[in-house]
Amino acid sequence: MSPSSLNRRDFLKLAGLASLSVVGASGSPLAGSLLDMLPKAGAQPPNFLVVVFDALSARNMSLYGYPRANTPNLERFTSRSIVFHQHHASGNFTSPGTGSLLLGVYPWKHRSLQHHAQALERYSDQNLFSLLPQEYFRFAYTQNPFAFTLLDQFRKHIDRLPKMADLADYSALLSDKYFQSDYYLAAETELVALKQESHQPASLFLSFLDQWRIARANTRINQAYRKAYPLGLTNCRSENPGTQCFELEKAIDWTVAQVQNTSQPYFGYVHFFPPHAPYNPRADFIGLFDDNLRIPKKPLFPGASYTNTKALKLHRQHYDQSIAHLDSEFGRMLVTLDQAGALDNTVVIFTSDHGEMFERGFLGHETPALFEPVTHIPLLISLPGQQERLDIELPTSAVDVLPTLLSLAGATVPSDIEGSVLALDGTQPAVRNIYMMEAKSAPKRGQLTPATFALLQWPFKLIQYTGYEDIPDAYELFDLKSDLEELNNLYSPDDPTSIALAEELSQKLEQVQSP
Amino acid sequence: MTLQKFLSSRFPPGRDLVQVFLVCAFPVAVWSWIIFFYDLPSFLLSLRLSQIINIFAYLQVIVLIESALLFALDTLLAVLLPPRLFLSNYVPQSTLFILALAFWAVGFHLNSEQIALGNLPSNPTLLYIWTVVWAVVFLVLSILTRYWTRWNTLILSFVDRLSIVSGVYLFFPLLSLPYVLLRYVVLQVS
Repeated sequence: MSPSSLNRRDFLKLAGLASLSVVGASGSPLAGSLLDMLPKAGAQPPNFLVVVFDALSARNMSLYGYPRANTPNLERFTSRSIVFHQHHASGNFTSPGTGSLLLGVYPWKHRSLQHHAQALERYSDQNLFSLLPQEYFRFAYTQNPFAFTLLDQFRKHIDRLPKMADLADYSALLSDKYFQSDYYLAAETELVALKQESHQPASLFLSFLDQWRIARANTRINQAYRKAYPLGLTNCRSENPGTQCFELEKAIDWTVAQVQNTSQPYFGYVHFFPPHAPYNPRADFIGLFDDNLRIPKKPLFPGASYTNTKALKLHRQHYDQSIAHLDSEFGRMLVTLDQAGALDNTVVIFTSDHGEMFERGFLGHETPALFEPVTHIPLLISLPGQQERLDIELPTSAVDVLPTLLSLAGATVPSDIEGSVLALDGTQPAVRNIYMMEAKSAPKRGQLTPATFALLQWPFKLIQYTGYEDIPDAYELFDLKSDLEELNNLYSPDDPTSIALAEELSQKLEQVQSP
Repeated sequence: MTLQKFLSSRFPPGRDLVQVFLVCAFPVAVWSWIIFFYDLPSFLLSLRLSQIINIFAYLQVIVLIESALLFALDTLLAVLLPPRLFLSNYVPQSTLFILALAFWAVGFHLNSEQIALGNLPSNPTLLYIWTVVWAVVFLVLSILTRYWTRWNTLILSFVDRLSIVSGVYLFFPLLSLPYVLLRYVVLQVS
């Protein structure tokens, strides 16, 4: 191809690959061979398959050193992947976490801060789907209503977006079934009128019918699946008013069908609900991990009240079993696609939106806290034809995924993206500031308070709590290299590291307090 | 007797039907307003004004549907029950029935953690007690309408006043219905 024959698309591809080559030139001996695997300009651009498992903490995966062997298939997958050991979510639940993954900016910028929140309007047309080159066919699916809210916002840039109900055995959300054209507001109304979780619904009588309908359907489905899912079908629970009952297997099969039958190049984003609570693994995983796993004792967080150690242990066991279940399904998907040669030109990304906690008086992830179990998530990237494992030990962030994928696709990375293009040749990234935040009670367009912020500047992690009624304004500082469990708070107003990091965080917050 | 004749003999007069519909709309609308305003601060945190207005419009349509269903249930009782039990004293009986049902529902919602329907098989006692209490209250007050004229008159004058307030509340659902339908059609087309 002569330079004069370069069209805009080829130019962008070359520009994207050039940035990788620059990184690769100073990298490991593998750099050249890995970059060679990426398609050349003019060749078919790579497909992308982004697989997100919700609430998957890296701290509970044997792949990252957890003592329970719950990720054998993922460990096999790492033999041809780049393994990011210190990858961090930007928030501690679906909306901010997924928002940052799909938008490449931290929650303080996209402002998908609350349950069911969309990002700011300007991101409707600046997201991973819209920024990919036009030639890509885009499909997406999620079983998580919060993630669906974001996908719904980006809907006009997604070629195929099934309803959540399409792959579920039962979906309680009427707005999902009947109001796709006005999903966001219809779902908000449905939640207010019929399905309030924290207080009374706005409908005096119809809410009864709705609860009765959901309870009846859940009972029927759990009965039907009681052999395969003795604890209940995944996410099938009458106490969750927005419940979706589904089999992970069906969603995996759907993904396989998309990959095999979609025109190339494609970009697929699948966001599966497991291992999110309720932790309902399939029957063949329920006997696993009946051991005496020793968990370090940690102090209770102010206001946290889940102190039933026995119940926490059981929940953790079911969570670990759910991870083993998803690992098995992910493995099945890979084997099927590999056998069909469907991944030959595909970049596979495996990650999560946030983690999960079973300690300090917390069960789950909806906490004001930003400790490692809720923010440390997996990231594996497998390039087409990659045969070696590469390990990246230094911290990376969910906001890095978008620029990295755009770069691989040869697309332009917008200048206001906060993430960085990750080196995919084994080169360790530079030590830089990685941020995490939680501000679900803060306004969408105003000052972020009450909120928790974390600044990770390897190996130090500074956490700041601000504006809460029941948690004192305070800092915590941990050295993650020597204190992985975050047991030893090093923060002191006289300590130079504490002062420097607090100052950096404060300056950053001054910049970003208004979206 | 043909079905048509049977129905016309059992159907309450139009003015009474309107009054009872307004009684139905009252608790449904008031409750939805209370919860809407309870939620408003959180809406203001995360939604634009136009989005809040749309949610309010959707809610008002739900109010209209809910009122209509409650009214249909009440009318069905009037048609099916022996006339001397319900139809002969339609407006006071319906008012008591609807308000008793509304109080029962409010009590249920305010204690929903204890007596949620999902927990019915394991913990139904509180729900049963609550239901029995309101059934008894309703029956006693209903019987009183037969034998105590003053009580009957009191209810009727209460309904007259309630109708005016309820009419004001109904303005919003009636305005919201065409708006929501139009919005739905426009969004479907686009």
